[in-house]
Amino acid sequence: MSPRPALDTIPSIGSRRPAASGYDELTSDALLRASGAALLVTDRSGRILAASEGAAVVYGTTRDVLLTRDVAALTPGDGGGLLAERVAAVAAGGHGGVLETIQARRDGDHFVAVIDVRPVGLDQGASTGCVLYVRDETVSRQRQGDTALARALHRATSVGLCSFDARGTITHWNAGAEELTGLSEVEAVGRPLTTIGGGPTGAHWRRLIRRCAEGSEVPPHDAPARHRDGSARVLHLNATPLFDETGRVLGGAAILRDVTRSREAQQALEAAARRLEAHTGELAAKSAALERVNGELDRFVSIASHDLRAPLRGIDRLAHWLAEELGDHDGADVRRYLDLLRGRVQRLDRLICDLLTYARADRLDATVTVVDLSELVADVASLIAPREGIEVVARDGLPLLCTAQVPLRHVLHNLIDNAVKHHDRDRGTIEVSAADRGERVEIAVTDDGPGIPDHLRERAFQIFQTLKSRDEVEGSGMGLAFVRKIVRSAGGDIEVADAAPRGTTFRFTWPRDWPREDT
Amino acid sequence: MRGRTPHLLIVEDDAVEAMAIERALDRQGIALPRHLARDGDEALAMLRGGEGRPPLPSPCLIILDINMPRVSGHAFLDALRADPALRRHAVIVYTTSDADRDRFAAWERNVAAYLLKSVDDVELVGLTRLITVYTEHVALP
Repeated sequence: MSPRPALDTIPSIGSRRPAASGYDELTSDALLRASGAALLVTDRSGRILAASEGAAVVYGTTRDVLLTRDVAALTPGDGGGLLAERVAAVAAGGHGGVLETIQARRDGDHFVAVIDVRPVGLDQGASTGCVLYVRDETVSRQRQGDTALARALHRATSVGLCSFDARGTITHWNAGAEELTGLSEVEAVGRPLTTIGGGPTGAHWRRLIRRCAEGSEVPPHDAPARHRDGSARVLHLNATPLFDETGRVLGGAAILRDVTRSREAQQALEAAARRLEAHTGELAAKSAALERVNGELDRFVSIASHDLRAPLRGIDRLAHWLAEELGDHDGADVRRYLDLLRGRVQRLDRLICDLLTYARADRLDATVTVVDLSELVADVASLIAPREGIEVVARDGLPLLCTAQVPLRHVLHNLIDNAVKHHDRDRGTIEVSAADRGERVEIAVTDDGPGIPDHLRERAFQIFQTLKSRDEVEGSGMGLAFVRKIVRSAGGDIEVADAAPRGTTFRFTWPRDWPREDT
Repeated sequence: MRGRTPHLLIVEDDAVEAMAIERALDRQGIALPRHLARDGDEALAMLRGGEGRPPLPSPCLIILDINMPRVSGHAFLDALRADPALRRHAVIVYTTSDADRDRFAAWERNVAAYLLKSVDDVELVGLTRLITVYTEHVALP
């Protein structure tokens, strides 16, 4: 609160006012009093001699109170002197003029005033005082400030801002809008807003204009637009109708943002999602097909295990019974033929078994446990029970693996068993070692047996291929094919190489961490 | 302790297999009355009688193969256990199938034993022993 001048305590000084002398004076006094404009009449020293109703309103007081004061007291703080000096100067014959100053209302509030000071009562070149026309500029100054701020924002922002009249003619167009559309302010203002829609997309903008013209709010939305360079754009619009002070619709204003890229990205994302969905569908179909195939394989396996083997069992039994019936009769040849017959039957039975095992090789029990490779090798070796003189050695430093034990055991069993079975000397060593290969370990089974000739190596891995006749070494020829199938289904591979000074090394890679089932 | 002498019903589609069982029984001197059915359908018909033939006398010890044409061992067991007149018969499954599915299905239908056929006929010896135990020591219904 500014200090309030203590003028109320000054007694009535109606005597200061010169007596009315005639019609003109009476009339002008009445006009002055009744005027809505804030007018004050002072003497040369700034004492207020007359005040209009308008002045009483502006200063928040009554005319009577104003008449007890002088102009210096109307100005808060130390600023009072300035107005009083101006009044004195104008009254003394100076030029009238406009003064901008802060004035205090009776309740202590301040307002920005523009005061027009003019001399009155000219009497032989000198005036008897001044008339002051006081205008409260506070509101209009604020408005100017608002307008200036709006203009600055309008110019400075990179967001597109525009306004348009009720018919859709562009009235304002900022730099942001220029950048978004390629239309300069000069080009845009005065043209229809539908220009930036362009062509078939114009309908959207006409609808926007119509809604604003009706005074309806427009929810934020995307609108198609065409840049001056011809490229299609998507603009995000926040539009609102504009009203004048009486509530009449002037048109509308809109904030424009270019969302072409994000909408494109969104569309690309959606397209990718659709593609992914399609792929997922395909995958599901493939998975279903695979399941069907697996089901068929299961059926095949069960048919093969029963229907193929059952007649073999019959043949075997019949041969056996024949031998029994032969009894002690001399029939050495017959007995030998029967033995051969049974040998073939057993071989065929084993072939069928191995074929079934091969068919199921990639579907072995995949329960993951911690496997100590050296223990596993010792275990496998004791099962194979190699003949006297053949030794299975686990090299020091074999790792612990977190893997499916069953498939790994099958691989090691087959490789070690092969090495033992095919060894051509009385004494031999089969050695298992391992090397670190990052996410995998490379496990090597090395023997000092006869070795495999170069040109036979790939054949060794093929199904039903044996490198010796089955009468020499009993085997179905499935072992290595089986091993390779297991290793590959575990994501590894196997190769064969010469060992030094003689023999063969089988090296296969095996995952350190067993691949997880994702189902 | 000994109940009534059971009849043996061999349900086996493979004639040589059936002969193998009979040979083994002969070898062990097991002289139970024997009947042979080549599938589950025929076995049920024999157990129930009809077409001028009387039903097989109770109790029966049934030697049952699983994989058979037409009515399999499982379907036979279903029908047997669902029939109040037949449900008390003891069944010994004798099959090549070591599939869990077959084994569980059989035990769920209260079989007396589940024996796997083996190439070297070890289990055939087991089968005759089991039959001996059932006839000599088990109180059948």
